[in-house]
Amino acid sequence: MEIRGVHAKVGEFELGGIDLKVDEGKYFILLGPTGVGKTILLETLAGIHRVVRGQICIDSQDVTHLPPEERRISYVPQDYALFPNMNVRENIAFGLKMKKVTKSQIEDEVGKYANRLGIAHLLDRPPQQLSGGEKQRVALARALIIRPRLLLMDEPLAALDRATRRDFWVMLKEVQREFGVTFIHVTHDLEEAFILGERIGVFINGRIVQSGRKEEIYKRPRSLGVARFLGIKNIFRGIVQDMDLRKGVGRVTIKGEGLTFSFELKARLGAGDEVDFLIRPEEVMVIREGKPIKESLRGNIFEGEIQKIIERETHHTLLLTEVGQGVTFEVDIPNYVMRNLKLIENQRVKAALRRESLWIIPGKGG
Amino acid sequence: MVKALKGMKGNRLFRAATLGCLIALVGFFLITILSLALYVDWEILLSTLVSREIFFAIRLSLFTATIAAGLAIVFAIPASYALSKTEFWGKNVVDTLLDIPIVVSPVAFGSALLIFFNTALGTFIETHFLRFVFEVPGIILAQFGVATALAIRLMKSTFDSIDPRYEVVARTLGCGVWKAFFKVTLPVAKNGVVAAGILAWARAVGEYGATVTLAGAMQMKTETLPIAIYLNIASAEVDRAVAVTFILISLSAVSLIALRRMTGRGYSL
Repeated sequence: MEIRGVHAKVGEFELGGIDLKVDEGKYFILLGPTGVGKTILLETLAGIHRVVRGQICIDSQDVTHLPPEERRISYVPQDYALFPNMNVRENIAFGLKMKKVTKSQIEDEVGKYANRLGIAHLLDRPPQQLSGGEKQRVALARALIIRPRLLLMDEPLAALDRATRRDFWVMLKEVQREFGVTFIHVTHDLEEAFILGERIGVFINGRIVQSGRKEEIYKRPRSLGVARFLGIKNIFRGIVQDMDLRKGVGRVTIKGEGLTFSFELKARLGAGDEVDFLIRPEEVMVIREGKPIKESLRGNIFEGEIQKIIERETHHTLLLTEVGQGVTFEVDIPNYVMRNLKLIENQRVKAALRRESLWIIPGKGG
Repeated sequence: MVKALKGMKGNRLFRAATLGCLIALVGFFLITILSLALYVDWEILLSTLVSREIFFAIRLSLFTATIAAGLAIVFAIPASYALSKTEFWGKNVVDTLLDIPIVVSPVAFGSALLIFFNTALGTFIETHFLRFVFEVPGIILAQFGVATALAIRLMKSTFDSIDPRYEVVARTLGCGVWKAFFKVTLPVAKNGVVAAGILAWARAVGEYGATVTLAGAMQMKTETLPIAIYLNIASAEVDRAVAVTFILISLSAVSLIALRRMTGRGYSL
């Protein structure tokens, strides 16, 4: 599926110049805050909104101006939109009925999909009597049964409780692989995005601002907007001091604070350039006293005082204030490390950061 | 005074005030209906029912109201759908225009219709197609005007409440716009359509002001049930007028019961 420079206007909202390529049979996540037009983009792909400019292609067929019924793109909206005047069986069978498939064939297919999705016992129930998770499975069966070329899902798990969501993470991925359908799944949930997506597109203010493999998005956000949306904590404005092109190492100082870090040179930079850079909290290491320090860590060592320790589900977050300049960092420490180090508030510790863990955001920032 | 409105005392006072008004209103309507029931002479009622004139009025009322309500539904379904789901310039003006027959006095609405049939276009229609003024089609037209406005109002709120994504999903599953409307939206709107039909019919049966202005009050010609009440009171036949009133109220009651039975409590007026 490929979108080239798609513009669409719905009421006051405008989608501006969307470019996106999703390989066949992949699980693609469209990640972005709520209320930025993700639903409108999905509905534009489905053919509900008119494309003003640009092109939408599926399997190299231009579908830009085809009506929804001729696109073979299925859609599972956020509220599932199960037809309330039909029972579960009729809901699932709907697409096949419209294609005038024979009754016995419809029955076979409905049985097959209902069994696969674990809803065979619900076939005679009206949708009003289903739980959120059951509704989701029915909506998925109804969407998949027509063997779509592309399946669009709008925040499919937003209304479910956490335990049910976890079950769905596994199920959705399995179903996607089994049926080999290309999935585009819209979410605002970072955890969901990184667990499910093979590739992720970050969607902010009506545009896809970055798209790529999930590690890439996570470790190397292309703009400050993406970094902020990803919830990255230690973002600083800095000035490039100098660069050693032979070693591929540069040094950057936090603006106005004087604290300097070395980083791996990836982009074209010049001394004196102002940049935004980030340090991921889980990449900062607290060094055990008396332990020899590895060569790769030597460039970025600082001493700090633990201001606060916040206990979380899988890790502890430390608010660490660097002793010399008073810059505060968030540092995430896995629970088992925390137990070994026996850290307490107001304690002074040495912390280190690998050069490659410091990411300079390309462009002018802002 | 302000102190009395707070705390438990205030709660009781609030309950008493709201329930008191409710009881007063129920009493008012009960007394009105009871006085009618007490006034009715059952022998006269039965003889009225089988009299040629009243039998004609019942038949004419049922006939005209059914056609008017049927036409109202046929036009109101697509019109209210368009009003609910389509964005167009001047939508607010159209919306207000459609409310006019509800808020304007029926006599004024009937007068406007009467005046229209005196214009060149109106006269042309009357001479070449169908006569409305002082004729049965006039009754149907007057009832249609008033009933349609009510039907549109009811059905628009029904369509407003239907998730637009039903149609979106139906279309991705292979339906064209027509099929999506007939297979999904309309069946989902069924209760609203039935309610609008019943209320439009009841409103048409009870219509008097616009009918009498456009179609006149002619015995055995344009004499619907409300006109029969008027004619009998005007000629001091109070017993007959009461009997017809009784019939009309019974018809309304039956409509309301049917409404509740067929659509549940959601669509009571």
